[in-house]
Amino acid sequence: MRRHYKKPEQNAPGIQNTTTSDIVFLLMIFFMVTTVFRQEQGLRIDMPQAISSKKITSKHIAHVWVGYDGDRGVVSIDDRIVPIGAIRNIIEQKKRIDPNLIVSIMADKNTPYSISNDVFGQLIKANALLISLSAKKVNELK
Amino acid sequence: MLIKKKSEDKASIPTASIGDITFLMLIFFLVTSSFSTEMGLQIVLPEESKETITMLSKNIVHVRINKFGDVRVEEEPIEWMKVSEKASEMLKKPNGDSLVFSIIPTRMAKYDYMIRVFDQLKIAFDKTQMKEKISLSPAEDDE
Repeated sequence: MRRHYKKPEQNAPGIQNTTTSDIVFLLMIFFMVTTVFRQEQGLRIDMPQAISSKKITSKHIAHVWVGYDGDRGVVSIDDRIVPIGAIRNIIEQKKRIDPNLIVSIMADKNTPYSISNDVFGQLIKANALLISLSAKKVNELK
Repeated sequence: MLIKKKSEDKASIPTASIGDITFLMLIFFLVTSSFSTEMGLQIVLPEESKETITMLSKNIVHVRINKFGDVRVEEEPIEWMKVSEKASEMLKKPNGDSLVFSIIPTRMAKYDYMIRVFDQLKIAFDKTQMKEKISLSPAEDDE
């Protein structure tokens, strides 16, 4: 018996690539929309530099901005200027929410030490003992 | 007179490369956008406790900084950039591993001075690969 083999249709297989640009555009827009940049303005400070500055990997970070106005300290937490005496309560609250809190101190390099000393005192009272002194990483000191 | 009919090419912009262009843009933004990374010197503050920890005073190295940024290690004046050398020297001595460095800035000393001495000490501890023992003391009054 003779069989009739039907020759299969041979269409050149192709993937539609006209929509790639749309897909990539969509991806780009998606990333642009979803990336959230931290929008805490803090204070305008001139950060000190350090060679041994290391990256903090933890996500549990609270920022305390320390600046100065004459001999008076100016402290900002969550974009609010707070008196130094109030740091304890604020940090205590934050610590209750997140026990692994690391307090990052962003202090201006010209701040008199007495001000940062008071800030440390407040943090000790709030029992927030893990702190990081923010400093720009440099490879060489001038 | 013969009028030549203008040849009318259909104008079109090639669109095949748009995908590549947008990909390139995506990569460009990915590379250039810098996420604010937290850099800093970590330190653990002492606990607030009634009882004081007694330590042999010979194991404490006092590093004093005044408002001009002059550094003294155990009352001996030293250039701040040489603190790390001096500290690693001290750490390498016998019993060096029990040393604790105590930074004592005066009230008017700049924060920057404290940071750079702290940095120097950290470098010394990194070099000698010892457990960091640096403490920040309360500010002293200016002379």
